[in-house]
Amino acid sequence: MTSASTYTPIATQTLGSNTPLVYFNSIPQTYTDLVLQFNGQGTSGIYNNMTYPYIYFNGDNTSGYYSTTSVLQRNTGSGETVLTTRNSNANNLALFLANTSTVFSPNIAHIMNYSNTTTYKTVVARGNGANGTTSVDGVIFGVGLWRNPAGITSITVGPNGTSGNFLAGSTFTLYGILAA
Amino acid sequence: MPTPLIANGFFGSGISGHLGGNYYSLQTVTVGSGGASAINFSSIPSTYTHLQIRYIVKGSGSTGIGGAPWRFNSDPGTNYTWHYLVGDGSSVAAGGNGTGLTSGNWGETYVDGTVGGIYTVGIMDILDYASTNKNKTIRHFFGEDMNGSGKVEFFSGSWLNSSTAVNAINYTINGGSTTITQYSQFALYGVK
Repeated sequence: MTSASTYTPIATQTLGSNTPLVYFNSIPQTYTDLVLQFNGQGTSGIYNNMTYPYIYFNGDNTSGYYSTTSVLQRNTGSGETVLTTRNSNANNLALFLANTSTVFSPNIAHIMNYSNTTTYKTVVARGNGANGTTSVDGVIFGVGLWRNPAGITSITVGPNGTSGNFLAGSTFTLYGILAA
Repeated sequence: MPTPLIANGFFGSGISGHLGGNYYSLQTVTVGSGGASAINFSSIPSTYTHLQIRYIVKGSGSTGIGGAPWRFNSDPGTNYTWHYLVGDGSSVAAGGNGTGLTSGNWGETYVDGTVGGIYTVGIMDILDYASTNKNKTIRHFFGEDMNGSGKVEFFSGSWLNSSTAVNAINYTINGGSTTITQYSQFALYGVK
């Protein structure tokens, strides 16, 4: 029987200035899943004033043990496009998006069974960005794998893009969900 | 032969924190070393507004992806429908099926012969599950990435029964012919 909180905020950050990396450290290993929600705007775009933020775990952004499969909608300038991408042997999970003008873009990542030390860690995530300019709007959803059975004790969120930052005012909240 | 795992009883209790204490853990099934042929939630109370299932799962067998039919209230009738959008890194596809299926083919599950490693993960929402005047609808977001292959999918589905609350949920891989392996875990939550 459980009497503990089932969906609990662990930590929240609102950026007071432009920031290149956002950290959640010392994550307790007492939940079943983690949910990361952020409403972010980038300062440097990769494609049509959109950047594609990423996360990595436990400070590991060099191993090449990350991979993603995602579906992305965006406007190419000549019309709307839906494409799917795969990124193998990567150094992070780029499963999000953020506008670089006008609006903040909501994203959510579900980090499933993050604290077990047996299975690799898989994330499903989705993000939206719509500022009313069709060449900037976008939708993404994807799945990502970290081929490491370690429990996740820290998460780093980066905005991507050359010398990019998350804009001041971007918000980040980490929740824990506890199964009975 | 693995046996079905059944999570009996209702273990909901008051919570605090996010959602104002409106998100309750009801039942959890974790598959042990012997594997399981099915995951069953039963005796689901009708006192919540929505249900959510969060899971990691893998099947035992030759590497591939197997079907993952779901059933509500053990209904074997032709009352299940679905539509989906999927990307596999090479192409995007969409599809669906109308009335006439005997289970909700609302997902797929990664299968391989190893213990540990890669699992399919997913989140299914069952909206207004306790209604006795609406057909039941689900949304299902799941995927598996195997570093070079994999899929991510969005499903919508329905169980065309407007008069009965969902009180039991059954999940199998390939109709039970594929064993659900150790460490797979399904957690059922109620949302007020």
